[in-house]
Amino acid sequence: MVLDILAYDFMQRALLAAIIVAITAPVVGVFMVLRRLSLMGETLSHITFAGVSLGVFLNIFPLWSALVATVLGSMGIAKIRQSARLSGDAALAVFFALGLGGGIVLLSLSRNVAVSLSSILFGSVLLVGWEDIFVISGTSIFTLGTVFLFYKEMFYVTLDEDLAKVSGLPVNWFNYLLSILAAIMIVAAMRVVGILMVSAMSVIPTLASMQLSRSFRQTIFLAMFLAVISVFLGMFIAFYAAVPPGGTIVLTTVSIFFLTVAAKTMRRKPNVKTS
Amino acid sequence: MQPVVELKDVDVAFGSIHVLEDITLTVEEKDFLGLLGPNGAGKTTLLKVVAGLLRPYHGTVKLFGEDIAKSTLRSKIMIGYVPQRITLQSQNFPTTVYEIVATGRISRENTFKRLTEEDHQKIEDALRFVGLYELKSRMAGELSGGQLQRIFIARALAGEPSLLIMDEPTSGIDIGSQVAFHSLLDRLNKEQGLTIMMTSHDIGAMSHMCTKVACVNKKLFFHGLTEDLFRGDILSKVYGYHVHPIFHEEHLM
Repeated sequence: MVLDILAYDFMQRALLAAIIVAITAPVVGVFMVLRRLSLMGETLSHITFAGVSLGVFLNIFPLWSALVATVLGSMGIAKIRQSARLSGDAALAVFFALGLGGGIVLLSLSRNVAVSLSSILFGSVLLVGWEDIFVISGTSIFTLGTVFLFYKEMFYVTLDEDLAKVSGLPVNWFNYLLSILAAIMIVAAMRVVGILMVSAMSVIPTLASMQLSRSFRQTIFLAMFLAVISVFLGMFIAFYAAVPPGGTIVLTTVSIFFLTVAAKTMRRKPNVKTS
Repeated sequence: MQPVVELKDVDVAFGSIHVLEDITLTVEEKDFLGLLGPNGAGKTTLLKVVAGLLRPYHGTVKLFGEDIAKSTLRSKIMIGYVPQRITLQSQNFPTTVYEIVATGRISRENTFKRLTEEDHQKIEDALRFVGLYELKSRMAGELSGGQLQRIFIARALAGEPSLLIMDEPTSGIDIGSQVAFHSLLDRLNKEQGLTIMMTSHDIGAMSHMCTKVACVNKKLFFHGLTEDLFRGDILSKVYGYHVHPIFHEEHLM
């Protein structure tokens, strides 16, 4: 019965796409959460919406236009944050509104009726084709490869920007890199859970992992593991309950988060500190 | 001998507020320089200028004879920097003591490379030096303020710095930990010949530890040997009111 789900080609593709995203999204999510940039993911996902709408409007493959728009948006946010002309939150609010407003206008101007708003907002993992999987795999390899190459530097900048600067690291460059990786991850994850829930794929597994992990490295691997579990469970529930998988994946992730919080609360002992 | 730090006519301002004016200061090799001054006097700003975190709008800053505004200097000369407030952004930052100390071995030069056996040896040596090797697998959020401070000292030492810069490293630490900490700094300076710059409000402790003292309150009021600090009314001029230091035996090491 469990393997029934794999009897369908579309389910195989959906599961493959979702697992690739589940492995990649938390790797970027760990750095975003610890740098207090969780809201940036939400904002970028709305810029992704504008990018998808632009692709639909221009009649080009939407993931490509979304990728370009989101990467440019992420660099714009990073630039504004660094120049301190606007506070971090204010910059995000502007781009959030721009993405949503621009996206809805472009989509309504488009005559391509085949694209449904709900599939953009809530995901359409069951409709992923091989071109989608090609894009998702490419972006995942790029993201994981980049983090592997710059792991220790990205950890250092996340731990303390000033200390990293004193060591001569190009901190601004790493800030741009993280923004770009976040943008790429969001475009990849959008097809699975939709833009409204996309940051949940990166942020919530990270938060769950942080409840249990005993090192930074362990946080990353545990978050990946929990995200993959969420995807498996979410897809199975969606398949047998006949509900949208984007929603069940996110709900499973949130449930796992609450379980980890409960587990941490139960195992917590009196915190005795010594000098 | 080449000075470690040379500041010449340094002015720093944040917008229209002048924080440092006309600071000319030299730190020689093996100096242990204490920076004294009231809150808001510009001590932290001065250390950040030396560390390359802030740029003066006027004047020059040289480390080992080279202008720090120029090129690749910081990738060659390792500065050990211990900031004023170590918060780890939040107490939930999921990292171990070892992972923190390991960042002391990261520089622009070893980008793309894994840490080597030698790097790991230096990290363990630094942890042993501060007496916290046994806690290397402990999560940073489980440490006390004093332990965390020593971890960040170990982090700075792991990079084998030529200059150690510390901003109020003993603030918020109990007296017992402070005495141990002062003894640690004494060993670093006297036994290993490390050049140290440090700010503190503890005039008594500074007068016993530091070989030289600089008194700053926007301008440099005094820079010289520690024993000369209490001649005249230098401290009263710096702090703007009468200062009469009382020395405690705990600080006599």
